[in-house]
Amino acid sequence: MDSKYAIRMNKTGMHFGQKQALADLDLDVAEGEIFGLLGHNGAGKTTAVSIITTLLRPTSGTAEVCGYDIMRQAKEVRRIIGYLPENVEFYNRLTLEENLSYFARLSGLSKPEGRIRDVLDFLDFKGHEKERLETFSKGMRQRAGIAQAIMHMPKVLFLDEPTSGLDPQGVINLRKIIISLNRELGMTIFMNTHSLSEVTKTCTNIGILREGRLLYQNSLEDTMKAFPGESSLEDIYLHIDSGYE
Amino acid sequence: MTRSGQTHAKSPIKEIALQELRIARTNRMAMLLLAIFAGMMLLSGFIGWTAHRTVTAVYEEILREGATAAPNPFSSQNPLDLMQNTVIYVILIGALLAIILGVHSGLGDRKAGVIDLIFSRPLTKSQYVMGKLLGMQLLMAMIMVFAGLVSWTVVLLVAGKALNFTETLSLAGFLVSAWLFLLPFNCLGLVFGAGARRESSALLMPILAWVFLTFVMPQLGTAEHPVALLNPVAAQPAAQGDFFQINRAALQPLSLTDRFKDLSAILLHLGDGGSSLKLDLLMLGTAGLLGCGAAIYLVKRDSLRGRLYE
Repeated sequence: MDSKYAIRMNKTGMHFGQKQALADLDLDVAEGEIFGLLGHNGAGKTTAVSIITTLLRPTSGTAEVCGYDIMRQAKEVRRIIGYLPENVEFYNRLTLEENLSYFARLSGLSKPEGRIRDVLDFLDFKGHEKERLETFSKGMRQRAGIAQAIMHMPKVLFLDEPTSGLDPQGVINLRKIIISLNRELGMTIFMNTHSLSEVTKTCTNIGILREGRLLYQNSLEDTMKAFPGESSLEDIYLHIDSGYE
Repeated sequence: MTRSGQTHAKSPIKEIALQELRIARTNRMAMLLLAIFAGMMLLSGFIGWTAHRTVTAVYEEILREGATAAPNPFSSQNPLDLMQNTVIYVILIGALLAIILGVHSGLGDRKAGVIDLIFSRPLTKSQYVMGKLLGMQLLMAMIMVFAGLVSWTVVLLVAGKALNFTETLSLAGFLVSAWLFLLPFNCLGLVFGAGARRESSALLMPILAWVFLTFVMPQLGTAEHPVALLNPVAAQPAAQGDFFQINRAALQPLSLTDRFKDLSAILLHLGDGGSSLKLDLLMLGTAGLLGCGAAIYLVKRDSLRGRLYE
């Protein structure tokens, strides 16, 4: 199934009891974009990603990934997505190779050994295959997290706060990786982030979420042009956010 | 790196099951319980050997004194009799081992924080639970094979002769019935491990269920002393009174422990079982299947993704 949109959310809503986490969210992300979803803590970013990755069922509305409905065709959606959660965790007593092999097989790869080598090479992360995850630093875990997410070459990659907790060098390395995945492998990338400087350097399009509502969505280029009085994305974000109040 | 070269695996159930074995390898608690179980098997043989030696020494003494002309009471006994304490260990240690393995299986991925990584893959919750069950049963089967080897060797060393084919088959039958008896406890542990909000309650609830099945349920019909309920003998007749008569008639056929003890008594030649081998096997098998079905149905994705408190 083909679609020019990698992601479509159509009046997607989510309630946790009385609390509304998402309110009729309409959001389109075209194929090939690096989309940054911005918002405060608790704005609903992680809920939105959890719904699109089929981890949560919305209480209202629908969503599609590359034309596949997230509720009726959840398995097809899972075949074509990769997901890096915030604070990614692994089986700490197993080695990197054992962890990656397991997740690759669950993604449908029957003989993932060659792919593991290729991916670790692509991420410049070779030589750690036999090390247990419990010995890894935050930056190394994040790379391992990216590795498990791209092992099966997904069409759409979801990254939830990918730079959280990384040191400056780690952030630079991750940025290079994200751009390479988009440009060299053609992956559409959807990332939740607080880091506006990162969005400026990485994303092609942005959306701003507040209290479960999408306040703004546009390309980064057009956004910068639309607010000539603001000198940075940070100022634009504050401008849009204060307009809501 | 390119997109080419993918070959698709057939089913995630096998992968989940194999991962279960990989994790068990690094799980100290599982390894400790396995060691305790094997140790109990050895102990059972040792106790049998001590009893054998003591009785034989007394027999030889009174034979020398001319006080008896009867044959050695052990000479007519089946060598599997040496393993009779194993029945108690299966009901006590084995059931706890099965519960703990089940709880660890249900909790493991939650504690590791990998549930979202797993469920963002193309597999269903049912496949996940089936994989977990399959992995655990492979592990339990390995434990039973190990227990069988230990038992066989112990009998060889203590009785001084190897079990013949029929006796070996009886021992294998006993281990299969032990595996079937333990299966519902595995499932119970898995359900609570996957659903509980705290690790302590994940363990406590199935242990309470085990206490009910092992002690309370048979007691409701027989009013027997709890320790006596562990003996591998046929289920006892109902105590006097309508309350016990009705309870025994209703609950005794469903009592897993009674069914297992009956089967063990038949297979290890410890006297007559109270009911038939086929009926006992059918009941244990049905309980195992129901346990698996209940686990597949009762384990929920949302519970697995739910927060786990220490």
